[in-house]
Amino acid sequence: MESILGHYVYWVIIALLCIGLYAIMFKKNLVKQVIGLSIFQTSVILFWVSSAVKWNATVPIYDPAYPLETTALYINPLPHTLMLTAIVVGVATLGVAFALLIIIFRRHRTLNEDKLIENMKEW
Amino acid sequence: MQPELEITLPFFILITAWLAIVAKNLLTAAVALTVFSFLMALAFVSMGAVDVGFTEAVVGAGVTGVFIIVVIFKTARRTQDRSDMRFKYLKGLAIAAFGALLIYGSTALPIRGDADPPMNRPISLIGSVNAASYYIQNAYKDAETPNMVTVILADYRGYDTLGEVIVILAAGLICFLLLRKQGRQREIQR
Repeated sequence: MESILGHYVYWVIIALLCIGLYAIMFKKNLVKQVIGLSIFQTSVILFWVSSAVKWNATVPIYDPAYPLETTALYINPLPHTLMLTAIVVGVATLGVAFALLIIIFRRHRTLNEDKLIENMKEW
Repeated sequence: MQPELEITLPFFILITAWLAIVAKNLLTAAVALTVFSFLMALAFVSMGAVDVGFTEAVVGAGVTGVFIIVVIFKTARRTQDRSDMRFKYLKGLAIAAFGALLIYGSTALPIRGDADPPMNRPISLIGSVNAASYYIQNAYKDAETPNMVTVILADYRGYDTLGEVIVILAAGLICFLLLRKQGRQREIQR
């Protein structure tokens, strides 16, 4: 029982990863595939943040009421910092993906994978 | 951490993620993804990551939603929502195997919220001071800033943030150059 309570958030994250993978593998529209990538990425970030949690601890902001010597009183701030970087870089790369999509649409007038492959064969 | 949020949030997060993928209208998918990102930000805050939640709400939900809506209005709005059914069983099997492998691996992870796993101990396994504990104990002394995440981001790991800024600059330049060059080619063709 304790094991289930301690791990069920990880299972939610794994379900989200599978949803993202499903969109990347099965959907034909390229925008949908990029949305799937975004969901995949956000669930990885959730995994890092949820691994930093400590019960009965406060947010990583210094409070004189909580002595700094007992580190168990503060949530681990290191994964939060790494994930801040990951979110911002992720959105920047997502912008590049969308710029590529706009160019593909301008040249081929479609974002459907099958039609794109046919168009490219004709070229 | 609130138990009510712990129970309801994963439920709604899964629903909105699924909706963002199966929606026929791309605009619906964009709005569902924005709602998904906001719920995710709420989950981050409920897990004590206030800075990550803040960034996710602004950057993840706001900017990503705007990006997708711009792309939709620059391209086609309706998607022919036919899934790719070639190698259907093979791909389904791959996803199921991926999920099963991860669930098998997750049983060996430390219980969430436990303060005892090696990541959270003051002394690491090889006997040196653990980075996270060092940051917690010394961030306020070193930088006089109460928020530890800010201190790590801008002070201890400043070069990391510099690299992040370089990546963002490169991404912005790529977007600018890609979209501008295409416009000029079009004028030449006319």
